[in-house]
Amino acid sequence: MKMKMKKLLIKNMVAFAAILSLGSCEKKLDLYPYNSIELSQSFKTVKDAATWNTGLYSDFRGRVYGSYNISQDVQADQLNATLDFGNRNGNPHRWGTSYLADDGALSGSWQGYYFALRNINTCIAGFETIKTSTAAEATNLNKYKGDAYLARAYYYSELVLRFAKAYDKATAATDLGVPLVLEFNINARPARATVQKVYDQILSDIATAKLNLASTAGTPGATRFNIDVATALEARVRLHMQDWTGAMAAANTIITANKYPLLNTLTNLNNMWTNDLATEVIFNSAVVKQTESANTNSIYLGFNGATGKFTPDFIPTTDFVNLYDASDLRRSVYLKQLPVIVQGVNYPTMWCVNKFPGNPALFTGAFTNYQHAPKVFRAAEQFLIYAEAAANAGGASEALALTTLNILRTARGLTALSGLTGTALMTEIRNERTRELAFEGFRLFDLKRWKLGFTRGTPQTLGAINTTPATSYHQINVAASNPQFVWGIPTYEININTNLVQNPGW
Amino acid sequence: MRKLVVMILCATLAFTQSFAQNRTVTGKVTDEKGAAIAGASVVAKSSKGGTTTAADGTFKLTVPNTVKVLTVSSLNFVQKDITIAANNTANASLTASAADALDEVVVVGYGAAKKKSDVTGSVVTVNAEKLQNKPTANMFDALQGKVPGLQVYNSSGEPSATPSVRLNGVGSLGASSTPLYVMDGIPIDAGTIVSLNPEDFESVTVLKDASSTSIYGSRAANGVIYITSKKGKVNSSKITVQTQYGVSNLVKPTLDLFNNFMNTKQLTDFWVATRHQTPAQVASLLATYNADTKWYQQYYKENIPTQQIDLNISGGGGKTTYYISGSAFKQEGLTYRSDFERYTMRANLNTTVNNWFKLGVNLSGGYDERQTNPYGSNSTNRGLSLLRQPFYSAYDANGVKYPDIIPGGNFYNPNYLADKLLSVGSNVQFNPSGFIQLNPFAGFTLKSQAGMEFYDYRGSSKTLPSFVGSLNNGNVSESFSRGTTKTITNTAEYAFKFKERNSFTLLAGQEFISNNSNGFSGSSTGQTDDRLVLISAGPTGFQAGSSMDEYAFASYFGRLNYNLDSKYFIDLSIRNDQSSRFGRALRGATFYSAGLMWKAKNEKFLQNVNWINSLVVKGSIGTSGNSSIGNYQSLATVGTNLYSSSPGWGVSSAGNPELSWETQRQINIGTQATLFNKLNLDIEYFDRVTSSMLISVPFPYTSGFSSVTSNVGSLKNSGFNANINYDFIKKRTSFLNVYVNVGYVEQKITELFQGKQYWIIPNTGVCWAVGQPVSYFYPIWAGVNPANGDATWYRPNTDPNKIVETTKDATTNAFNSAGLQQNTGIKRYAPFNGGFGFSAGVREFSVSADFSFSKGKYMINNDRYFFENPNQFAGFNQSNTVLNYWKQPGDQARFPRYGVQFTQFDSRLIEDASFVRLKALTFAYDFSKTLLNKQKVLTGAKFYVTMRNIWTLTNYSGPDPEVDTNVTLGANPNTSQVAVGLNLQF
Repeated sequence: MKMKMKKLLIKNMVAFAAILSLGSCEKKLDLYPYNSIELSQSFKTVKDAATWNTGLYSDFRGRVYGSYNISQDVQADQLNATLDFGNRNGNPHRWGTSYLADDGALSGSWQGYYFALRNINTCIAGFETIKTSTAAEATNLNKYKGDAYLARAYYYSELVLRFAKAYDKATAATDLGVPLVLEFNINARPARATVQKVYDQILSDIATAKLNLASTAGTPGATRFNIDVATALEARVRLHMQDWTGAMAAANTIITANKYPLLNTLTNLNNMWTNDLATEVIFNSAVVKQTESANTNSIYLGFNGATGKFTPDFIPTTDFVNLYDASDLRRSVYLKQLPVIVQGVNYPTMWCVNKFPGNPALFTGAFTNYQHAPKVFRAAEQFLIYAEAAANAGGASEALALTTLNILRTARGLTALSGLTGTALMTEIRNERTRELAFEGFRLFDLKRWKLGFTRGTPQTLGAINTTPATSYHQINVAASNPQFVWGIPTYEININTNLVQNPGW
Repeated sequence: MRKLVVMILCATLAFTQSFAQNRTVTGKVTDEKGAAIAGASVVAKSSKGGTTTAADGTFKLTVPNTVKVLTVSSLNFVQKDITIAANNTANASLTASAADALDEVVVVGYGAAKKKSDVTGSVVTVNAEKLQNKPTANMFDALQGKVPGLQVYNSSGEPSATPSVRLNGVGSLGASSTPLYVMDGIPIDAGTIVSLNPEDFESVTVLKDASSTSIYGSRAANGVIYITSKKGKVNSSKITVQTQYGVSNLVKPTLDLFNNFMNTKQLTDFWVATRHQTPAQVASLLATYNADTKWYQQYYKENIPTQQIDLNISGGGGKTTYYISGSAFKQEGLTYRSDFERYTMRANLNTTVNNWFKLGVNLSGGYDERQTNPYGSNSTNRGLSLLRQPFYSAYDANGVKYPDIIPGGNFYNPNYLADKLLSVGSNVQFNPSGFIQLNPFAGFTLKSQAGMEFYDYRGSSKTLPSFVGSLNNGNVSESFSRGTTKTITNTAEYAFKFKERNSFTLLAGQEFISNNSNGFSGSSTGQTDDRLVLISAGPTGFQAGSSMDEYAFASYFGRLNYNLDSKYFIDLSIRNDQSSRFGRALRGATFYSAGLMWKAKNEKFLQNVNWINSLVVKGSIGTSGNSSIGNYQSLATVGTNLYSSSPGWGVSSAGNPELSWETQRQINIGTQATLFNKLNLDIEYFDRVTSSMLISVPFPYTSGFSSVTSNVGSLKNSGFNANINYDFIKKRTSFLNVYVNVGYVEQKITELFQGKQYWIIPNTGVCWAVGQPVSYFYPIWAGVNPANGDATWYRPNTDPNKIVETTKDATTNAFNSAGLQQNTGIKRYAPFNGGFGFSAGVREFSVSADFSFSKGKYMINNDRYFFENPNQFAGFNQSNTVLNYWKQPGDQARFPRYGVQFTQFDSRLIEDASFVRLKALTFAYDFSKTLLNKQKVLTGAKFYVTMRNIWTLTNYSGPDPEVDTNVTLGANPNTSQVAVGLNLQF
């Protein structure tokens, strides 16, 4: 009996020990995520590089349109906040003590661009470690490198536009730009590079990009980078740098190739802004219905499908509406008189910004979701760059400026102008730029570049908009010297990185 | 021959005598009522040998003749010595141990349950009666104010909400401060509690100090809450039926806020006075819309029912006990689409197979459906619905509710949204556990326990095709998530005595915990018919997603308990833990504890001091860990995105290979005493130092990441906890007991990161500053300038490095949320929390009241930014406080002149949300004796009325002071219940 018991006990003890050992498997502690891979394992092949390259475009799409346009457009002179705007984007709209350096309107883009640069810098370093085995692989890898350098140039051009003074040859070597981060290093605490250094880096990156993209030809509606995109960015950057001949040369490359003819019918222009007709689009980000969406410029309509009425956050000023002649095709494409209801009051024919009504092919519901393929580079801008640069270059170039301006004007249903020179010519070019590129994020930075202050335009109707205090809303008067044309470095960034210096006035 | 006979006789006698040295004693052990007590221990006093009673309470024990007395003991009964009668029988009638906490049995860490009075650690047990028959789904609600040092806040009136629970302050600035929950030895998630039936619990034990928690090592830094479920008792079969019905309503202070909004006349007069609208505009508006609607009455319902029924059957026979229960609970919230419905079932079986083998199985399962109102913080569809203008009406001229859209206001009727936009979650919960226990020889126990926490949650949401906001274009999505946490624990325990006076218990063990959570989801759009709303009915927009996540812990532990003469106690424990969450080289950590206890009453010099019934002094020191962060954070990883329907990559995590355990050192010193047989005192001092805190450390955006989780900084929490209760009356037919619990915490940050002396967490108003508790740093309001109506604020210290030192020596009228932020001197976390109450009874009647309180609780009332800001939210309704604005020089006004923003994010919004809340008030009538003598079916019956949250005292002006947050916006306030219930026992 005793023996039996002992035997049983031993048996049980063995079983017990077996259970013990079951639980103590060290390997069960080596766990890896299922939705990501280790960074160290991600630059092995050209196929890996291709995947990183696709990621670059996804990042890029997330950094155009939406708040990347709206923050500066509501700050400029063309919009009034309706009574139903709920203080959305109210801070930049009011300037002054409303708009502070900790505002999401400015920190959002700072963060967005630098986070994208993290991936770009990781790619630029990682691509160098990938070995190619065929010529096709080498070609592809070069293209991916070119894309990375071009994206980096684009992000820095947008950063320096927002957070630094407009480029001024005389002071660029000392004016503070933005920190130049060229490699992914989590522990870096970079100081601000000068405006000159930032632009030098942008030009250098564009040059590298052009070298690597030389054999990638442009095509209307391209959703990936190519040589034309690089050239278009170069034209834009050189205009900002007041490099008139450089800007003219780059823009002229696009214009003379005539690959992106300007639309000149109401139907086509309407198609461009409603159905993403891409004839004159040098680059737009791809959007896929349901699965891949872009940021939206949705503050202008506020369509309520249930009532069929619109409750926009912002409506254009009368002055802005009047900037378009009756014959201007854009007047009935960019703008539209719609049944608006604000605070329960109906305005049957209120002018609304209709540039971003949403592409019906991308709707996921019965009504608009404001989805578009974001148009980042358009041929029309290149005409305006050329015209502005040529007018500034002066002399014989003024005639070229007028000719180029007239190509755009006539395409858009306006009459050609003649005999204009000097300030009169410049005014027409600026007005044309304002009309053509409205609400695509250019206006505020153009005013800064042109060193122009403003008084916000006359509103359509006082009853529908915020008016108190008038000097913050519809009657705001902003001097050209107002420091808030240059956005503040985000407070968060200043607090963490003590090497940064804040812009004056913030 | 005679000699021979004598010799044989002598030899026989001697032989006989040697046999006669032992005798067999039989007997029966019963309770006071004569019911058998099974499993009671019967040992010979001052000798070896002992046995346990059989199921019928009988025992048979062979003892030496010299033994005259047997010692009989059993859990929950007072130990008793009985003299063996002349006929070798010994019957014992044991008296149940008093409800006196000092004699309870608690599970502290692994191994066998111990008498609570033998535990050196700081342990508080709350018994079942305190947790049950409450008109709320979550058991923790009833713990509020019951345990000194345990802070419980309900942040929401959603019936399915999980309260936030903290013990002895906030132990970490980064990682979670939620205690570890263990049910019958198996760790469970805090969110699981709401899926369990409180009626199934025997007790909840809160383990507070290192001596009791270190054995849990990993995750025990914030204390341990141990839940013991009910077990049956041999030969004590019981059937219990409990039902309850009640209603929920809004109460003060919520109603005060809601009723303080302007009516139509006030609002339109205000508009005219401030020239927001001309009298003509107002007149034209009122010509069309002239109602006077209190919109909250549309967004919150009244007298919403709550119901529950619970049936349990327990008992046992032979060597087996059982407890089987089933329950149903249903409670609706006051907002639309707020609902909780739960069904549970439990079977606890324990059996003694033979004298060395025991096993037990606990099976707990349930199903619940939950809906929560989705319109929270920033939505005018509930959270900010008070902004709705009163002149619009929810009803047409005939008093019929507008079916969908409110004319003029152009917004949806809340019930229309609720009817058309559906979102229901359902949860299947299964918590099985089982153990086998071997006792190969006396005092030695091997136990192997395995348990699992399993849930399967399904979320279904639909936009019906008939919804006018997207007519004929339905949207259907289904998401499934499933989680399993498996725990395997093996322990060996040996209890022995050395020279009688020295008692030892040694424990060694090992534990492995692995978790896997995964999910997938699918959706489609384009449904055109409300009757056909499956995913498959949607012609377009098919989408699918999936996810998977894992973690694991491997641990080894040991413990030594020693006591000398039951006077001096020493507990030592050690535990090594490894976690998959940390860098490979740094994933292990070892935690220890040492505890000492002196039972002074057992000393000779106190034994005759009659007014001291018990006196204990204890102290402990030890360490424990915290790993409550996300998974995989030590790895630098690349995540995926999509472009043109191809997958792309981007860096998704910077990783931190140096990531390791957050550790905490805790010291507790305390004393417990019972005096005059009436007064119980329990006071302790604690000191917690957390170091290598797991903080999401801020990084500049230029680095590519805004934060990286790292081990940095240190934090100290110290304070005291006290429980005092006094029995004014303690008689057979009447009683009156009053109690007070207080916990006080002083918090101090002792080190931060990157050499920083302070860090203001952006957009939170909260600052971590070295040498300070976590505090509110905000622009400080300096008042309205009576001369010109400007809003003014104090400038911060001109030396930016001394922003912690507030000077208040200069003011400005230029607001700057970041530029003006400075130390308000207001603590983020309430230092005082506790509760008080009484229970009293006379014969069949009893009444009890439980209050909980929080003192020094502050939060930023973000609602007021919307409710008191007529410039910013022109055209919306506002609180009538805005009428007090500056109009002319000399005005001492609350708000500045119209045109200057009335409300900014400044110190005015930081409100004292201290409160005293009547958590529970219960009147009960026990008619078991009077009525039940006449029949034999019922053995117990109780009728009661219970009320929850019916009264609150606070100065807080928002909807609910109890919300646990730094910034509150659109909170769904706690509601009040009044319920009647009936408990019957058969």
